[in-house]
Amino acid sequence: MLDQTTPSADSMQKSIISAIDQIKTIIVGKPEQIKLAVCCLLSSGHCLIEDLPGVGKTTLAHALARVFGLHFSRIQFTSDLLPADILGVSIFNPQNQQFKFHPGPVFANCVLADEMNRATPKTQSALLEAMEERQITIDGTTRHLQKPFFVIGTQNPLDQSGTFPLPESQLDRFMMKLKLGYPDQKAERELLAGQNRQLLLQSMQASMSIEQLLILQRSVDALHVSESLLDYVQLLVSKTRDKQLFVYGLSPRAALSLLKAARAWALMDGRDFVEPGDVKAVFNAISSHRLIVAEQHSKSVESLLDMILSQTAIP
Amino acid sequence: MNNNQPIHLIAQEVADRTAILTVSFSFMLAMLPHFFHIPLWVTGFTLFALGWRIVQAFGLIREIPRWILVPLVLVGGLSVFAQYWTIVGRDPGLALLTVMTAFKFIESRTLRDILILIFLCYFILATHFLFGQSIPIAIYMLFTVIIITTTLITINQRDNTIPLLPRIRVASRLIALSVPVMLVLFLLVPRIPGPLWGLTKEQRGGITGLSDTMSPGEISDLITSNDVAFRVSFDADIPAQQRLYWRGPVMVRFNGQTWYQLRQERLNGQYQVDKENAVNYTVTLEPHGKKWIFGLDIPIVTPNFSYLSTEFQLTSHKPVNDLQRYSLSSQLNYQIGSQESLEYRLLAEQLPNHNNPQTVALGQQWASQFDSKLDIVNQALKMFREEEYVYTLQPPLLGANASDEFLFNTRRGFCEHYASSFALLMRAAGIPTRIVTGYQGGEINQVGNYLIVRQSDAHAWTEVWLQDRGWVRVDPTAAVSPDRIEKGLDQALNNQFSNFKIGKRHQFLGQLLYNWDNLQHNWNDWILNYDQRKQARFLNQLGLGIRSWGDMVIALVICLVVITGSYWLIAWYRDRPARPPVYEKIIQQLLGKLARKGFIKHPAEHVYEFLERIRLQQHFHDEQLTKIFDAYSRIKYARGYQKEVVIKRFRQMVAEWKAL
Repeated sequence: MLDQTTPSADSMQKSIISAIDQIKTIIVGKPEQIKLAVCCLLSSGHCLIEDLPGVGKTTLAHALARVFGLHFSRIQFTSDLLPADILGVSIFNPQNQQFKFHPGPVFANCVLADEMNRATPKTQSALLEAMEERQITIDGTTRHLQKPFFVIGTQNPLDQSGTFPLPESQLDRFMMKLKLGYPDQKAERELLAGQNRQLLLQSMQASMSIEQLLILQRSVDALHVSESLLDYVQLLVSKTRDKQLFVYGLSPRAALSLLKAARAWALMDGRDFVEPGDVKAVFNAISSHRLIVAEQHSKSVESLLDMILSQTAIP
Repeated sequence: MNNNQPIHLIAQEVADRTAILTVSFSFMLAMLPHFFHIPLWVTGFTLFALGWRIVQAFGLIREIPRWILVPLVLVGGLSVFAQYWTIVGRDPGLALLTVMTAFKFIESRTLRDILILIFLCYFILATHFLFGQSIPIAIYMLFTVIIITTTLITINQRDNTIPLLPRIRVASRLIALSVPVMLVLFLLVPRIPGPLWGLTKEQRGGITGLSDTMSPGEISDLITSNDVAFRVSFDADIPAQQRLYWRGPVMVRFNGQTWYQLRQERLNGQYQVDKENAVNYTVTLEPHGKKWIFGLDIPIVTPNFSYLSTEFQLTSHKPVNDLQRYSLSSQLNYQIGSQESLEYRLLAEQLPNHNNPQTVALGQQWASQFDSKLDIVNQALKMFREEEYVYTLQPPLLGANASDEFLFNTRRGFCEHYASSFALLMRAAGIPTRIVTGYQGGEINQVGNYLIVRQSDAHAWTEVWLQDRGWVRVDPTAAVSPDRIEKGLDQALNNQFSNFKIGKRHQFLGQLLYNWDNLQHNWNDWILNYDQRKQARFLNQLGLGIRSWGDMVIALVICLVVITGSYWLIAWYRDRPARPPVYEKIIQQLLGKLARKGFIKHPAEHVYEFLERIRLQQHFHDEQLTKIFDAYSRIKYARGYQKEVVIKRFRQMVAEWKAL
């Protein structure tokens, strides 16, 4: 039933694996996070990376853009950044007496929004709205953003003075939140001993075209999900709604994201169906930034989510 | 609001506007037919109380303080007492209940009060059966009980998560589920002989029917009523219309204006009536508050609660205050009273002094003119037949000498005019004569093949006493208007007046009305008439050996346990956990075997994770197991693998693995 333009599940998996392998050569010692980031891209979500500066957030974004052949742009958020700086602006051209729209950096396939918490809420929400709608309206004209449109937002957990941390409700716009963390000894050694990352990046070859990526994104939606898997997803989501654990539980939107990411994960594993392992793999990344631990608990969100995973029997 | 609160806390919550409005609506529905039964001031006060509470719910007026309310309650109770001079009985009881419920409305504050009001609504609704037990009332009550139950659900479902329509559906289902319980209670609760409600005479007012006296105009009043007097099912064919004389009160005493009944005495000794070719039938008599019951001339077997009087009038021991059903046997060809006492015959010849001189003169003239008494009778009938007499429902008003005016002047009359004048003529001619009132004819309901006798079939005729022949029925109306006797009243009146027997005029509507009447007939028969005797017969037919009250109670308890038990079973069956599919069972067996070897799968683990864990931690490696788990995962999660063949193959794989 597959036509010429649709690659087989097998070849899809191969191209994904080669893409991941290429990224691994740049970002060493973080296979889990790389896989999740690719998963997020495949499921048409946006990714939030929260970590210290210098652990490779920017490099990861660059690498992703490179291997998938995406048009990349970067926005460094500062306190004086304005929405127009992100979206673009119409400038009057005296020659032909007309306004001409100069698209902003948001008109790219892969946008790195660096240190989002340093800009004002107004500017933040301009980007967040663009992420949700995948289109922007300026001067009454609606302009579609490029496809695929993938935003990697970063937040610096330190340096809190003079920043505007994204509120929880806005964090929901990001499908996943990743933490990179320090590399382990071996990986760091490899990093130190290896080549210049910038040069490496430039020498990277795209593993697939944008068209292929779009086909992959579409085939994620087509992946089969069985009733018993839906039971499992519902069971997990309902457990996060326990008032003893979290202030409020996962929303239906979060549940949809969880399912979609699990599909993408299954696709990356070369399967045409989703199994509980896929859900488990993405559960933490999908849920951690959407939940707030109830006051009486001293544990972290991550450990509570792990606890839910280890205590929820697969139906 | 949180629905998980304990009930005692919910009950103390202040009732909101929805609660007040819904319970007011339910109360209005429950009360509606009662507004015809209670005094006007009670109705007024009830509406005032409801209105006050609703306006208060909107925050426009204040709550009435308790120190005003308490004396008011006393005044209310006393007012009811003043109205009836008692608070015992149906009507005063209802009035008191209504007034007190109205006060409860005024003082209601919490949800607990609202719940009490809802249960009062149920109670008030039940009291409708004290006033009428007809089908429309029953349907209305069914409808209202669903509404009240919906209100009860609404009160308990305060966050309105369920929309109105499903709430009504739930209430209807609850009521439907209670129907079997109701049926069992109806069939098996021991019946008390006599009217269940112990109704007294005051409550029987307004019932139409024949009376124990007859004066001109009385029956023609009755005839405008379309009410059913009784229904009759015949064992064999229904006899011809002109033979259907339903004998009621017999009157022999006359004061010039009105005919009176004598005190009925039991007929002692045998009377000579042939029992061959008797007509057998069952009468379902509507309550009329009098002692007589109706049968075809002449009854030969009487129901056990009645006796035949010396005037051959069927008389019940007690007034007929409830629907009465009895079987009878009548002989239509009969000869009675040939041995009538002289004393009675003289009484039946008496004429009031100075009354109707012209009529008396005519009778006396005939007496001297004819030798045979039969000729006198025929002469009178001939006069009615051949001269210009008119049978009409609207006769002119008559004065003191009614017969004179009628016979010689107006010549327009109804059956009682003819019967009365004829009797007077006969008496003047020296023939003992008496008036018989009752019903004549009836309407055949083809649907149920039974006869409906209505008040409009009321009739009066005469009996004359002839030597050797005894009392002979003479119906002067038949001479004037043969159609009345042969075809019924509306034919006789040439449709000048009646359209109550619509069945004869409009085909579709008629069919509908006959069906409706048949339904009522069955309702009377099976529901209202289900008394001790019928219950005993029914239980006997069941053949379960239920005889005593004790047996009935045991049967009742068993039935109730069975019904509720089966409900519980159905509920349990519906909510039972789904049966695990075959492949789950197979994998569970396999995992059980692994567990015995010390490899225990955690329920939260997917099979792959489990395999990976035991490989890493316990160095257990099995290629075949990987394949099995792979197959299992595909069957469970992939599309198109839940086929018979695949599962069979899977079972084989597991069997092979086990065999190793």
